Amino acid sequence: MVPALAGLVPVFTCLVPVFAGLRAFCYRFVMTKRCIGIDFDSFGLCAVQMARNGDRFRMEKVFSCPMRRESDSPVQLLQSLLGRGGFDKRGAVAVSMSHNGIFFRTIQNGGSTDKSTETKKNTAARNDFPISAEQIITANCLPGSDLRSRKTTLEIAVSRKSLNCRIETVRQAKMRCEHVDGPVFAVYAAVAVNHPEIACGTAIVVYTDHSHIIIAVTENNDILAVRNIPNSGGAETDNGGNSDEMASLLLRETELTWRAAFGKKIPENTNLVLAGQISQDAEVISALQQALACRATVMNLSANIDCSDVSEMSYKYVIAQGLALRVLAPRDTIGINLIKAARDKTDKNIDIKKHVVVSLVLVAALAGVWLTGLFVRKLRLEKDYENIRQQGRLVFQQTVPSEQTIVNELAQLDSHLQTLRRDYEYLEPLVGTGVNPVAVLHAISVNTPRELKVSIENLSITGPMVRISAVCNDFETANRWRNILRKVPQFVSVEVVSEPAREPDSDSISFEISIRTER
Amino acid sequence: MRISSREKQLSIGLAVFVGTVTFYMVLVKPSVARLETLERVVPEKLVALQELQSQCRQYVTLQERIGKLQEQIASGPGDFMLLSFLDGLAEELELKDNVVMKGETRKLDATYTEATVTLELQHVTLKELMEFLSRLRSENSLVTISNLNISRGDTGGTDLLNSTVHVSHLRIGS
Repeated sequence: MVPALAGLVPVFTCLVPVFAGLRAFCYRFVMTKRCIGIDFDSFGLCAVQMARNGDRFRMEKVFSCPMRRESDSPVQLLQSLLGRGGFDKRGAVAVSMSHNGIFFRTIQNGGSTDKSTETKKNTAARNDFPISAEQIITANCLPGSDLRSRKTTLEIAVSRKSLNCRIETVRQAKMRCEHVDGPVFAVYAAVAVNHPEIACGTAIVVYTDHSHIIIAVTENNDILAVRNIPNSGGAETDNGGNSDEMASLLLRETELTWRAAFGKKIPENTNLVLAGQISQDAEVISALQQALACRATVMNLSANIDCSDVSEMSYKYVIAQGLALRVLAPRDTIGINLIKAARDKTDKNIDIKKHVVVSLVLVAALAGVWLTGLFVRKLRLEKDYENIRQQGRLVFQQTVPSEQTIVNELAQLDSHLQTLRRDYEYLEPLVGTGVNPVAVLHAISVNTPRELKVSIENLSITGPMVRISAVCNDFETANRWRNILRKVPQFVSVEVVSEPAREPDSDSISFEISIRTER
Repeated sequence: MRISSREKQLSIGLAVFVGTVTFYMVLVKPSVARLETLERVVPEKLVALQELQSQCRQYVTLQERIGKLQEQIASGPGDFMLLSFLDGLAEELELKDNVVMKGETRKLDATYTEATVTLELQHVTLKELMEFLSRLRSENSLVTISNLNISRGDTGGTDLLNSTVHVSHLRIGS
């Protein structure tokens, strides 16, 4: 049987990739997958609905709405997406964490992934990120297998509370939240899909909005370093503010970020992609291009995305588009689904094997206790049963020693008892407890006063029953005599058989009474 | 034969399952059934034992009483004849002319034989009747009066009575 089962294992192993391939084929060529990307923070609420059909992506709907933090409810705004915006409520939803709620760290890979190294990393994470150990969720932006081949890895950290808060907001709006990612990964996804040329070699991605500046250094489709800087002059720049200050800030921060990644100056002709608010500021773009001697590319949101109205494709939708692309094209983009990371961390915390073993041990212990109780109780009852049987046999043998064959003690004894009772009935009159006619006659004569003038005509004694027929002169005498007889201690009962009645041819009264004597 | 870890785990799991089922079917299930039977039977047996003990006490008591009575019967005269005894008693009390006797003997079972005599006493006074009955009881304790009937009857207005007495005597053997 075991070899037969063993033979099935490789069959199942072969079927797994077949099913995976079939699923991928369905997704790629048969099914149209939709996703709604929602950016809460950059320019109010910005959302896009995108669809993937084969290798092509299509922007179906866009929606933006300013959000006043004091009065607007994010849940109501999200619900307006489905109502006013006409978004598909069955589509998967991807949202970004807030700029302030996500933290980055570049860690050096030592080539070892054993448990001690993991513990050290966890300790470092607790020290490096401003999140408590119980709340922290950390994740690397590449799968573990790729860690060994890279010198550095970008690690991100978020608070479980803020993540749950974001997910809950979407759920309250009756939408299906499938993906939560960092804004930098959303920006890079949008850039990577629209400008795939930056996936080869090194590049700098600069994104700005009202509140934050994101600078990312990438190499071969991997983000090496990230800077997330509050943008104090963002609103002014949008309104024709001080572009020089913004240019110098971006220049300084970009150089610092590059140096953090490579430890040297930015070489000439490095790809520089400008996205978001900055893509609208020609002065800043020109200043950066001149200062860094880079090949600057202003991000075009519809470069590789089909859309019915290009004018709708505002720079505001970079993060929203990137989020949707993270779900629709996970292999073409990089990032971290924080929902999955949180789930993995929870799963890691629970040592399933240990729990299973403990549960099995508990079940086994319970079963053992139950079985022990069962057998102990059975043994005790068996012993009781045998004791009762032996006692019965002993009592019977002592009582009826002549009986050799014992089948049913009670029935056999009952049979013997019936015989004895019959014998005793024959002998009972000899005991003297039976009727004594002399005593009965004596009792009647003593309790029949002469002045009553009662004449007994007939007296019959059979066993304990006495029957008397008598005659007297009046009814009162009959009653008085009867009452006197009732007081005789030997008589249990005195009953009238026939009521006193006057004789038809005389003045006398005749009556009949029955007396029951004690045995 | 080399088996992989997965095959080993499957084999162990299967063995544990088969072992558990066998253990249950062979040991646990019959034990549970036996336990249920014992839980039902033991109280019943206990009640039956109490009843048996009670009946045993009755049996012993009856046996003792019967033994005493049999001793009493055995201690009496072996050649006792009820009819002769009553005839003698009537003659002694000068009632021979007033008595008509009819005797009968019947076997009750393999052990006991009962002799019964029906006496018809005619035109006797109450005193004579009482004397006869008292002497009957006192002279032989094994003679018992099973039935007595007294009537004034047609005695011509005197105090004389007519009486029918059934007397029996039990003896062991035929």
